[in-house]
Amino acid sequence: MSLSSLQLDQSGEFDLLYNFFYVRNYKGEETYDTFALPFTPLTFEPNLTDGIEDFISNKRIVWDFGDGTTTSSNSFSCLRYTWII
Amino acid sequence: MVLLQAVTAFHAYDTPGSYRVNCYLYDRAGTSYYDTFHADVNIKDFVQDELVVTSTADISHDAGQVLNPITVKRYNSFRTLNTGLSTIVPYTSGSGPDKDFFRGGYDKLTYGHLYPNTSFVQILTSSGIVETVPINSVKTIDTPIYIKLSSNEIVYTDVSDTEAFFAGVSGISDVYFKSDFTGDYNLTFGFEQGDIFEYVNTTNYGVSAVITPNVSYNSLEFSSNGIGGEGADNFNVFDINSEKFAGTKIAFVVKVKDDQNFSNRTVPNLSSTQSSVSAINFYLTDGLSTYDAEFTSDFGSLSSLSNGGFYKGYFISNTAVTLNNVYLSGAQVNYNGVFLNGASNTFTINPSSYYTVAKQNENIDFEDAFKEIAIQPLFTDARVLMKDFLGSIFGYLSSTQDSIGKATYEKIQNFLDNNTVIDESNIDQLDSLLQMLDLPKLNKYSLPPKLKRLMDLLSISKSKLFGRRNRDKTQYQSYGYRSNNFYGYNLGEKLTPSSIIIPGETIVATELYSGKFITLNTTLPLSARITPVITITDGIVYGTSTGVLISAASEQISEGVPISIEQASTVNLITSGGTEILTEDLLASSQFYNLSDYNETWGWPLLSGGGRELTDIYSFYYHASSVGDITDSIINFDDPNNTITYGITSYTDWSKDNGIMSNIFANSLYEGLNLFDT
Repeated sequence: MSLSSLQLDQSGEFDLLYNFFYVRNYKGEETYDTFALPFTPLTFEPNLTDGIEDFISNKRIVWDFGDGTTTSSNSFSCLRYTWII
Repeated sequence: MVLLQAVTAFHAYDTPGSYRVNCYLYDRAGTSYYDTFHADVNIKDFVQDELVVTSTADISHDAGQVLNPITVKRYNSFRTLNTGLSTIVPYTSGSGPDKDFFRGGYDKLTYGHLYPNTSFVQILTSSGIVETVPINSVKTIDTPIYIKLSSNEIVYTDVSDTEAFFAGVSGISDVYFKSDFTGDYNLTFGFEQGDIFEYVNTTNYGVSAVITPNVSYNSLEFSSNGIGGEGADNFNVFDINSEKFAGTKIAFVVKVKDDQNFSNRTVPNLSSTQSSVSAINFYLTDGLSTYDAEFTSDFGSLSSLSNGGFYKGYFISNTAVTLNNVYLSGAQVNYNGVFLNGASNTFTINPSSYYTVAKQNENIDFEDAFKEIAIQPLFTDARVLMKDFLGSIFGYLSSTQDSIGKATYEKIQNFLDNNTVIDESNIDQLDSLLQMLDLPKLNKYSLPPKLKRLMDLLSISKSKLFGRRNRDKTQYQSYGYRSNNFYGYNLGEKLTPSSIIIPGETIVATELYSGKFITLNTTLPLSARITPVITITDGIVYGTSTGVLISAASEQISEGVPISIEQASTVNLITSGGTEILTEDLLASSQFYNLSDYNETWGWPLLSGGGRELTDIYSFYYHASSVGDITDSIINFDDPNNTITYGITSYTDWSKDNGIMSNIFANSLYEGLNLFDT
């Protein structure tokens, strides 16, 4: 889960990106399980290697949580910005 | 709520399930990378919808018995409660649907409970009454579950906690399987289809049961409709009602019970035919005497049943006097070699119209009224016109209270009270008065005239209906005519200086020069500075409440001895056969003193007399108790039709279930429904 990698396509462009991320529950434990309660959220934390910011946009990132909910932004200039949606 | 911290996201899911989470990244040109890592997360309810069915013993018992509980526990998440608490449905396989109490339609039949059947039952308590009830859904005792997050741990809390989150409910209940048919059964439980909607697949949980033959016949149970106690539940709501009427069909059902008080429906039905193997005899008795009653079987549509272990019928008593504390006794001799008997609860059989309440101004005799106004000689001897024609239309003095004449006359005479006096008015008029004052409306019902009259009358408070007795006991004046009702009737026998005075028995002094009467407290001298000479007796001393000292001698009277009220006014007496009887031995000593011992320290408000003898200034009398007239009553106690007496009852007896008001209403309903045979 903690791996991330960039791969080249046949044209030599960076076109395929596997971005691994941690999933943690409300206790901070790594797990894929939690309760359907407002105070037991899951935390999704990407493991980004140094230099990846040279390849990905600092304007836009989208999370799709699978339940019809997505988050996106095109206004962050730094990967360490804090968003509240 | 969704949080994104830097590229870290937080997400709390609303709904249980399995979800695939993707993180999409874009290159600097804004083009997304077309493949990304994903994670599959599993979300579940904190309280998951679930049934847990357990039994501590094998479900194996005799037919008809309610034994070996099956414990059903439920857990339901808060989301499934949005459409109400899900229904737990029990189901049995192993018996045909025609034998099932609900699927066979027995619950729709008036006497369906008398048919042999299979059913799940619960022992439920409602308003303090424990009842064994067939069920087609399990009723659980539920407890809400509240939780909160504390130090990153989910902990239980209660509703009073401001951070409490309602997570769901848990519930528990014991269910029993009862069958009147022997055999092997599979018992299953599940949430009703659709109640848990898409989140959970309804799962059935099952146990097996074995029902063996019941060969125990132990006693007979009487009730009004065949729904009685099972086992130890002591359910008696459907006992024969405690107040019944002569001349009406009084329905009853007798059931055969086994040695654990369960209904045994595997035995043949009981029969009043004496040649039958299951013949039964009935008696109406109070334990001392047997009273005439006509017993009739009334199986109706149940007559096709050969087995069921019951008898259904009714009896009619035509008693002209009230039968108190009577009961039905049944004895069945030699049923399969077993002697069965049983008795019903006790009840009272009243003659019809035992309680008749008459209102003021209902005592009109229209035959007389017409005679008085028909002064022409032509009508004076017209008996047919006056009595048979007009009298039969408008009623006589003895006619019922709802006869045309009495009803009309009462409306006219009592118009003001019926329409404008808020605590005496009829219900419709009371509602109008309340509306005039912008107060809440009353529920008004369209009732037959007899019931409407009773509703109008008996909705008035008892104190208003019965009025008050005049409690004035100071009628001492003896001038005027002796025949006058007020002629000094509280003045008793005149005392002499040697007369004895019994502490607690009031005496009266008269100032000879002014005629003024003074009521004297005879207990005061006992605590005076100079007390009279007290004579203590070994037994009771006669009282003087009648105004006369019957005898100055004391007496010892033993329990069970008839006694007159004058003898002891302060002891509890009971009445037996019209005679007052002491309830216990009167062996305690009592005391008296003499009037001649009088001195000024006694505290009596008498003049000193300036050296003259007290008897020169005063005459003394025993005080005679009296019962005052009834005033301001709405009930006319002088009406010849009225059978309610002023001292008839306490408020509790008047208003309780099956009390006097209830009896009056019941009598009217029986009449209206033509339930009186005669």
